[in-house]
Amino acid sequence: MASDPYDVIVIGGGPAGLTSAIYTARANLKTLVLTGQFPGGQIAFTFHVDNYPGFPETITGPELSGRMRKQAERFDAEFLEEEATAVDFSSAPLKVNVGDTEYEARAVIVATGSLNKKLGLESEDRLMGRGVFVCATCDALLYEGKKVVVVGGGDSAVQEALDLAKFAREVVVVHRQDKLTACMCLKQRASENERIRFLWNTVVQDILGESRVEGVRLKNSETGKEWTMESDGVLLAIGWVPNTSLFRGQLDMDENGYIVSPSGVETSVRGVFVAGDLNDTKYRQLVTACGSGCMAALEAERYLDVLKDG
Amino acid sequence: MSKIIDLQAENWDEEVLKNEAPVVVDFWHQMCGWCLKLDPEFKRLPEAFENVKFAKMNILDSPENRKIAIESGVMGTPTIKVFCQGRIVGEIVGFRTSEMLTGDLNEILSQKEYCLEQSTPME
Repeated sequence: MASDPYDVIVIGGGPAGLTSAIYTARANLKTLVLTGQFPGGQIAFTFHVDNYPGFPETITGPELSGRMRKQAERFDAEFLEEEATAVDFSSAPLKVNVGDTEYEARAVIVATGSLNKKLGLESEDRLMGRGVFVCATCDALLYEGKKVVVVGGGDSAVQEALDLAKFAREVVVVHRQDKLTACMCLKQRASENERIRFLWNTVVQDILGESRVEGVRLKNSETGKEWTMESDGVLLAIGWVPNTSLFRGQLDMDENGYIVSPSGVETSVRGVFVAGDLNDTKYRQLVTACGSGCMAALEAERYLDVLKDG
Repeated sequence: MSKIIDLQAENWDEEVLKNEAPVVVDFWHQMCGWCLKLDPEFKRLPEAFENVKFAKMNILDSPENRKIAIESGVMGTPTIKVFCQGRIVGEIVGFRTSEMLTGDLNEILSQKEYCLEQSTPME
């Protein structure tokens, strides 16, 4: 049974969704935010946020996202820490389900962020939390004095390697290319760190161990050489995939699952707007997520104004 | 009693290793999103289990806490370890709902008698 309709439902509780909610709620639009299981999005897993303007002394991710939420609540945005389970954008009002409960809105902002990309190995699921992990902030301290493989070569991988090197005795970054794609500042710090070394043109073929990670099976993609290396842990940092499965068949997407939005934040459905990582294949920064959240909210506000006047 | 014991390195021996009853320990910390999600689920468990102690250890509280977690084989957070007279008899890794945890614990604790038998010194 449908509850009272909202002006705007924001699906996603990361920086993009929270910024959207601040703007729409402040514009006196009745706003519901479905945060999913993890209010705060990716920054809730980030210990130090050093590149968000206005916090020269740094701020923790959970604190920053908590402040964003409070700001939205100050303007009466409603929050539900539940996962949207289905959407129906085929007719107005737009419908969003949380289990059996259906919510209706005149506009929807989708901001469900990204999910960790995986290698696609049986062993990575089986050994997740048993040596395989995706968040150095969460688990680096459990690898004190140990050897850990970091898979990846972008900003996330190198940052995670640096975080791990504070505890681990040896960090081996395994990258399928012959150079890092991370920013220069991170590259320099990693290359100067004595505990970090690199294996180039190398892919992880398997993660070894029955109940605990014991090593990895590696292959050099240039020479074809395969070998086994002992390791106590494997940190996966091979990037992200857009969390858009909920919108399949409802919104136009590209072949990689990103929402198509050629003119900015409008999607293929009128009244549905996109923010954050769902249509950002390039920048994926906290501050750009907030910026696109703002843009989506302003477009939603204009759209609702036109609806009202029309 | 549905009290959750706040474990620190100082009371680890007394509350876990020397406890007559099985002790279910949630190793967690505040920077771990899944740990925060697990917390309310974990806190529902004591109602369902008699004669079992439930405890939480924040591994960021001290280096000693962290050392105990590592020595207990914790490799990711959250991890729940089940101790029986100082021995680890089972583990649950990652987020689970209270219903799932209840099922997992019932299975692990079914080994309790065996554990107790094995752990009691022969006179």
